[in-house]
Amino acid sequence: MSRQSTAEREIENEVYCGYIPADKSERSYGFIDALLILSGYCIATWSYTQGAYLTGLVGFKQLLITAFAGAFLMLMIYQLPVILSARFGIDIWIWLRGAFGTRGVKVLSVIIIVINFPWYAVCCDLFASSMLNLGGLFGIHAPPIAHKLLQLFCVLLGSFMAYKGVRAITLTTRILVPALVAVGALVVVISFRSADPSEIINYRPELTGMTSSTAYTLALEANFAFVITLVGGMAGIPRLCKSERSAYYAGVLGQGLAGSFFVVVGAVMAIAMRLKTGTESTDPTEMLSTLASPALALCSLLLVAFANIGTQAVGSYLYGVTLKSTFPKAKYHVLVGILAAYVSALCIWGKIVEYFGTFLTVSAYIYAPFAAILFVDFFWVRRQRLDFRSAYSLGKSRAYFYTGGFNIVGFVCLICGCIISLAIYNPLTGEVYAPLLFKLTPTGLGFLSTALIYFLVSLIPPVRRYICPDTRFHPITKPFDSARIPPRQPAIVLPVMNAVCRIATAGSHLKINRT
Amino acid sequence: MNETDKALEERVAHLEECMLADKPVGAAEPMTKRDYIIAGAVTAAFLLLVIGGAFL
Repeated sequence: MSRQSTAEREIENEVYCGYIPADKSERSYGFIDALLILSGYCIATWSYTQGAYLTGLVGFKQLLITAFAGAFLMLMIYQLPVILSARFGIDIWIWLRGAFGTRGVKVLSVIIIVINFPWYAVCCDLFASSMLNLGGLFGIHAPPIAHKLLQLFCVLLGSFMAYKGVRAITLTTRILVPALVAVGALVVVISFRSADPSEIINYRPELTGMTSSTAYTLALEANFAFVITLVGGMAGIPRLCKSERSAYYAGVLGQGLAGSFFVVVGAVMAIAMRLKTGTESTDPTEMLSTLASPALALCSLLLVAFANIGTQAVGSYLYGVTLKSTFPKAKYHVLVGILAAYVSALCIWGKIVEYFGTFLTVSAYIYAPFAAILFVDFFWVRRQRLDFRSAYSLGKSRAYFYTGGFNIVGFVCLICGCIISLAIYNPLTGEVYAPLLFKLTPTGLGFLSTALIYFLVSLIPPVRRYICPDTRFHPITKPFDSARIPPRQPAIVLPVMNAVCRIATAGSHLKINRT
Repeated sequence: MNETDKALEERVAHLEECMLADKPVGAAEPMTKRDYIIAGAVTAAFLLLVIGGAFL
């Protein structure tokens, strides 16, 4: 292989794995492919679990509104900054070096991944359970160790696809996602046929210990938290899109339509199950085998189980790109290996499902402030202009090094957003501290308050000078541009300043040379 | 400097040049004002739906 082609391949790898900005010739995704990949990421057994959870809070009509309108509302807002990824061909984490500092993004990306990857361990657990239940339907009773081995099989297969790169994922999702959507539609038909359709449509849960208004807010919160989990990896695919519009709508529809459709499918199954048998279940295997014929259930479950592998593959790719953007010297393949090792360790530990609520709670309170800072930073603070040389630390450009590599203002705003969310609702005890603010939902309030705080502090001149040190792109024009307009000081302050300067310099015996 | 670093330097220089000259980067078709208005209107519609859903 010639030296030229080796170099080209290396550059291509660095482009597709996240570090080098993708140029026009490397944009491989139109709207459909981007939509299929992001849908493949969102469709997994956890959607069914989320749907079943919602049926305990709201009726069918409110469930449709929270699952679709709630998800779309949050997605339409927080996904808007992906246009920066499509425009410049970079991951959001390159941009975030401006908002959090060059070392700050390293810490934050690791935190986001540590709290996000338990999702994948749950995915693997559900995959293993589904496969074992399917075996059980056919009289195959595997030993207990089989559960762990199947979990690890899911991790390995998904990580292998991510290791092969984005092209392997594209091909897989082109086949998998349409098949999954067809299965979802089939499951809805099965559920509606197994119970009275009007009973499903008019279904209302029996609420204990909360008002219907609180239950609606909690259902809305569940959907906000559900869709905002992608924020850390949301730019991995859009950065390779041919237009900003397709990048944005692929992300919005991938989660808002495909992901939410499967949440509703899970809910319909759970309601049908309740109406038919009087029992509650969140296990899709159990629900499908009860509602449909074993053969149909087998086909449906087999596909849905493999959706978990697709999710693992896309997730590993997106977060591998995230890590590559924040740790550019590390090899992409090594990073995917580390992610696989982390999920495998969680699977072997085996208690992730037990502690999943805690993980989910912690993560939801960080994602919203994080998304808010990105939004405000891109549109209002940096106004869509970034000092790329500093972001990539090229040459001597170090504008985004801030204080030891951390943008203190960005981190303070992030922490404020988390505290405000926790101040209105305790997710561990279910206690509402501020009923009026709770109507905005903890995730919604976390997003709005962080956005407002970050925007307001960015208006304070010393803070603005600190968070926008890239003066080539953000010249300071207020309160004056010293190159054009001389500074104006109140006359009363000048003698005081004169005296202070004289005292401060008295020890140096400075003299003014008036030549 | 290896080929990868050179490629990065070139692409970053292009991005900065476009930004300083206030011209589009040209790698992806940009969102138009109309797109932003549509996105805003759709978001507002979903907000109304969510608020209305509370009264069902």
